[in-house]
Amino acid sequence: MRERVKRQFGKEYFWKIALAVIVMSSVIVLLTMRFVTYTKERLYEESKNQLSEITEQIYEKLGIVLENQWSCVTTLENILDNRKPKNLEELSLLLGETKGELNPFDDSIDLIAIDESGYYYDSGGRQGIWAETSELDKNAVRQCFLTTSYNEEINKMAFVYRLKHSVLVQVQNRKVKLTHVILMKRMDSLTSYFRSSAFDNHNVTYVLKNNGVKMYSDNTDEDTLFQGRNLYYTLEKMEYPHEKKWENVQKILEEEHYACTDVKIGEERYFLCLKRLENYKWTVLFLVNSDLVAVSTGQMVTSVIQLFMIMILISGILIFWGIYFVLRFKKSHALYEMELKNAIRLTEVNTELASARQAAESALYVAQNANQAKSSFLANMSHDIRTPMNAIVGFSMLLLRDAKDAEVKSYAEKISMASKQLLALINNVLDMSKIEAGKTSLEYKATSIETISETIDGMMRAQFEKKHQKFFVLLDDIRHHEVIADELHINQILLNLLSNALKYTPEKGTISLMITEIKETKKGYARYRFSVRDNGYGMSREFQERLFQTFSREENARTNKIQGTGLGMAITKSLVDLMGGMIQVESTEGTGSVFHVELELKIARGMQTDSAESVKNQTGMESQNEDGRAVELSGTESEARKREKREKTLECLSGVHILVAEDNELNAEILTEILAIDHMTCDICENGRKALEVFEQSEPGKYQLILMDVQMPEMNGYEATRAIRNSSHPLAKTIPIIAMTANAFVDDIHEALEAGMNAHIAKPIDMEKLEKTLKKALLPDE
Amino acid sequence: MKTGKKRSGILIRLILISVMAGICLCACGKGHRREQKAMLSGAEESRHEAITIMDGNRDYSGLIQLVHEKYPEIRLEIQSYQGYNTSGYMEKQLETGIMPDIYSTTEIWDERWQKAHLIDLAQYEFTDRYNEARMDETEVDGATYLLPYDLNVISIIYNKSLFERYGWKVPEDMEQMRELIKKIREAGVEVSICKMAFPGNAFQYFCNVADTVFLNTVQGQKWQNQFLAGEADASALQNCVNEVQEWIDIGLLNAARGELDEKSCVDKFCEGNTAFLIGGISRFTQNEDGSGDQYACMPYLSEDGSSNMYISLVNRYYGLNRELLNPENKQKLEDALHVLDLISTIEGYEAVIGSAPSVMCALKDFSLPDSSPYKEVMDEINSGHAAPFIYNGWTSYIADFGYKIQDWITGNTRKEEIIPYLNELQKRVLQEAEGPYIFAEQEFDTRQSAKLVGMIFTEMARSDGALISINEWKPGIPSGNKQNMDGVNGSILPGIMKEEDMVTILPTGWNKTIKEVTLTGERIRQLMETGYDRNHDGDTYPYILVTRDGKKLESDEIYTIVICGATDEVLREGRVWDTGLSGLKMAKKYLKEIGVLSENLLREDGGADDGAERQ
Repeated sequence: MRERVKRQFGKEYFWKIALAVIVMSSVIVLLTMRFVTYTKERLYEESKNQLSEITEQIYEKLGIVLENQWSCVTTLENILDNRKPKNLEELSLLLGETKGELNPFDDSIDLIAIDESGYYYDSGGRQGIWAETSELDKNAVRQCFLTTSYNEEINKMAFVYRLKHSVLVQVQNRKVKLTHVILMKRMDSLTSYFRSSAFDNHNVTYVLKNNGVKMYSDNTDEDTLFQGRNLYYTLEKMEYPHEKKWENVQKILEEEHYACTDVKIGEERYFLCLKRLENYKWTVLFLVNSDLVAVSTGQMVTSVIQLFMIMILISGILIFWGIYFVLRFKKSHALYEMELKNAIRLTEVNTELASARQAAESALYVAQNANQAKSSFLANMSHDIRTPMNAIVGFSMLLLRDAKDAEVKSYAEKISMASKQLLALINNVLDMSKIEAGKTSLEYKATSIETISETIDGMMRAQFEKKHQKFFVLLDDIRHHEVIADELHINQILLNLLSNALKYTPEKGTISLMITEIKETKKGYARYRFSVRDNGYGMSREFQERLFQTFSREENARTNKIQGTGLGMAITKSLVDLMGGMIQVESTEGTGSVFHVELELKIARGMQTDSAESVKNQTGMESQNEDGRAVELSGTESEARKREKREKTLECLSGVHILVAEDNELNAEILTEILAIDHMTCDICENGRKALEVFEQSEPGKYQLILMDVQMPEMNGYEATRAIRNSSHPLAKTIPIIAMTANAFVDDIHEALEAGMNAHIAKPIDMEKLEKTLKKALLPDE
Repeated sequence: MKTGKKRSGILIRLILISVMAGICLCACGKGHRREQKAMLSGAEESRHEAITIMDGNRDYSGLIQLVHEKYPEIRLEIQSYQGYNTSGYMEKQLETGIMPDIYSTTEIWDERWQKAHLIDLAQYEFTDRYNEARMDETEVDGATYLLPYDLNVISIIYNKSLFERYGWKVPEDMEQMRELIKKIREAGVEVSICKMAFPGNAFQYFCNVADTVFLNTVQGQKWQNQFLAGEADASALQNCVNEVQEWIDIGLLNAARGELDEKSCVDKFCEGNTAFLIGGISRFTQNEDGSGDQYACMPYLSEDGSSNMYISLVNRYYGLNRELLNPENKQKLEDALHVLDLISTIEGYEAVIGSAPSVMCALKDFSLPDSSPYKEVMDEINSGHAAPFIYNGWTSYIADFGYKIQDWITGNTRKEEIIPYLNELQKRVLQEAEGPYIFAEQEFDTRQSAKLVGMIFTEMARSDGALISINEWKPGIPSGNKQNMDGVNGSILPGIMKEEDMVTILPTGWNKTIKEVTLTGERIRQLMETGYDRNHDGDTYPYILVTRDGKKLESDEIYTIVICGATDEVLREGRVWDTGLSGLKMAKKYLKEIGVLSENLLREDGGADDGAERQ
């Protein structure tokens, strides 16, 4: 619930935050863009202003230099006017002197005079045709153009000045009229005027004709940005971030005679300034990398932008975190309220649960008390019923032995049977109650599937034979023979099932027990299926559903005649459950039933897995599987062996003298009589202390055995046994002591053995069992 | 809980990405532009169309080799022209726009034609390699359509060794020259040899002398413009005529070897008993290996020596055909620019010039080698003693006025006749300029032109037919004398056909006469099949055969036919006979009668047999 609520909240919270992020990001981005654009724009204007100032200085300087040249030329004119050279020699001298006076240390200029035919005369007395005569405009006073024609292939700027008054000079035998004077200045001497220290002399300057044709460049680097004779082609191809296109810059240049803009060449940004020089038809192009323009301002702006960015970033992060925390707080608060409601509800529920628990505990306490009382009652019942039952069984047995009258014998027989049935009922009730009370403890020990099957076979076969029923015990695909199992309870399960089959299968019916190893479910364990199949009466579907409930019996004409406590299947089911197994039944009325019990048993360590074949051979089951005769033979042999064994037992027991501790006189009498049957004698002591005393005082060998009741006054059987074992009697340690008690539970047997007894016989005494136990105690080696 | 954490993580990332994206957007502005490089695949390289250039007496073998080395994918194809009016043909090409991809010319023609048919080269990097002042000469409104390339200097060649042998001083004015010539004659040495192969030679000699007097002055240049426009007569040239007469009188200008062609003149001069050679030379030693007499140059002298002149001549300007700007010619333009870029280097210059006697190059990196005979006179040239070669504008005068000068030099005309003649000629030229014109409706290629020449000569000489060879460029054969200048060169380009335009194609050039041979029909057919083996190497030039009225030639019949381009053996075998009829005059007469030169004329007249097709 809480997670679902949180998810719901998380989703809502996420979209709110996301929306806030988008809105804030957009605002920040727009704000930043606006700020950066504005700042860059301001920086651009500032750069342009700075650049204009610097380039203006350059142009001014250049203008002064150019004007200086004109001053020189006009000075020359004045000198010519004043001195009026008569011949070539005087003219050459005048030109040389004037040059020396005007620019004493400047070799970059030459002064020449031109006559009306286009011939020149220089300071060295040389003369020749002036190749640029076609360039001379008759009407122009001042003209300026580039030339290489004079003397050498070096670009020179010609400052041509038309004389106001022509000068006549005698050259050889003719008079020539000087019309122009020309100052020629080497262009490379102008380079320094184009440079600016403000840009560490890294600017590039071109002198262009107004149509874009390159006249002069101060850039000696061949890898120049401007390639080609007409620079306007290159300018057309450049990007103009502010003026957009070259035509716009040209328009500004035409209108204002000055244009300054930024340009992009590749990834580099430059500032471009173009200035029309009045009177010269020239345009000076000035280009400098933007990194060099307004460097300090640029750095300052960059720092401001960076600072602004950082502040925006920090503010953004803080705002985001603020939003995050506010929303988170809201979310937490909402969650808190939700949790508060839940807590109240939880408290209510807890209170209810506590009440319920208290009630349950009370009920449990009552139940436990009741159960305890029940157990106590049952235990007591067990003892108390068994004791008189012992008398009934014993006396009915004696009566059956001693009665002469057939009718009396018949009565005795019926009493014996009824008492046995009553005993069985009591045992089952006790078993069920113990299981339910959780007092049934499983006792695991090493055994084998064959042992279990043989035991069952041995116990049940005679009863099937009595009813002329065929009985098969089949083992199939047993790969693990040796197992750790509670053999006693497995036997009980199987005996219950087989007894059930015995009872509900008519004579000449067939019953089988098949044990199959299904598969190894987990390492070290094997799973076995015990299937008891009969072709008896079967069960109705309705009954199958309540088969394993206590006191359930199929009520119909046939089964009503069959005796049963109605507890067998419930006990079986409980035992199977206790062992972690599973029980199923398949049955069809009139056809028969099959019970499947599946149990997982631990495989006994060190046991080899043999093939089913070998197991079968070992157990001799093969012949049984082939036909039923082997079984019958086996049964015959078993009966004979039994008789033989009994005879041997009686022979062994005859003459044995036994010390008996029994507080119940009736039981003592019965026992004495029973022992007498087998030619044994006994001394009876009424409690344990008495028995101890009698034993201690007895001569060694007087008693061959002690039968000890458990519940006795003064000293119970356990205490008495311990005392005997601890006594100084020579046979204290070795004399067999057998518990003979109505305390018939497994725990009672354990307690007896722990006390030092050798065996346990439950009351009411079963004659056969008594004989067997006594013989085993007296002759343990057989 | 996990989902919540995950969302918080996404949120934080979203915040950071948004902020960073914003900052980057602001800081970076526009994204980088990707440079795009166009790569030529092998298949594309193989599709390079040949770049054409006309040789016009220039041997481009070296350039072809250099282009092949630098750009193996570019093929340079030569359109050969060895005709008698290279400059005129170049002018007509520019006027019509029918020109090779790389246009070359000896003159700067009309600016309007440049704008119409050439690409402005001022945008390309290689123009930076040329001297700015030189480039100014070709500038048209800020554009550069023609690159000034190599310059030659026309001077008077003298035998330096001979001078040293006799202890003669090189004269510096005409007075000294007169004195020297006396000594030369006394020494039994021939004064000079003048190349007189073309009327243009005589025309140029007149102009060169006139440059030292008047033509190269401000007034002289002004007069030229006025005279060509019909605004001034020739009387301004009187001093020049007087000065030329002086040159004739002292024997500097003479026609003693006038019958010799250019090569023969030079060979004669190189024999070593002649003081001066008027007309230029391509080598400055007697022998190719530098042994024997050494030759040197001197200017055309003025009377007082103050206006001595060398004549500067731009040998070639180069430009690009504007048609290369058409989108389908993108690759060709790129290739042609590569070629221009290549020739705009010293390495390219040397490949273009080869052993030709060019003096200077407009490239900034060029410097005259010390071995050059012009080295010692370069200072004089640069210091105002060079006059431009006079040609442009005068083309309509060159032939007639040239003949007149030739007559004058040979003594057939007096100096008094010169000015009146020039005035008459001026009137005629100006009249002809007004029409009626001979008009070519379209371009006629070399074969068609040869057919026309055959028809004209057959008709005018009343021959049975004509066997006219045509020129084709042959690799490995140097331009000039070796290529076929005996046949038809070039094409008739559309438009008005003046005399100089006729000369461009005529095998007889300006002044040669029509020659006939007498051969059997079988022999004529055989010559048609084998072609004109001009260099006796088996690599022949094809003939075009024209017969009167298109008649088939009978094998055993004997025919008298006009022949243009024949080996000495054929001439002997055919008993060559000079009809004395000027090819140019006959052509003018014939074409004047026709008036319009159309495709139908060539088709209807027929009678032509194309030898190449038989081959």
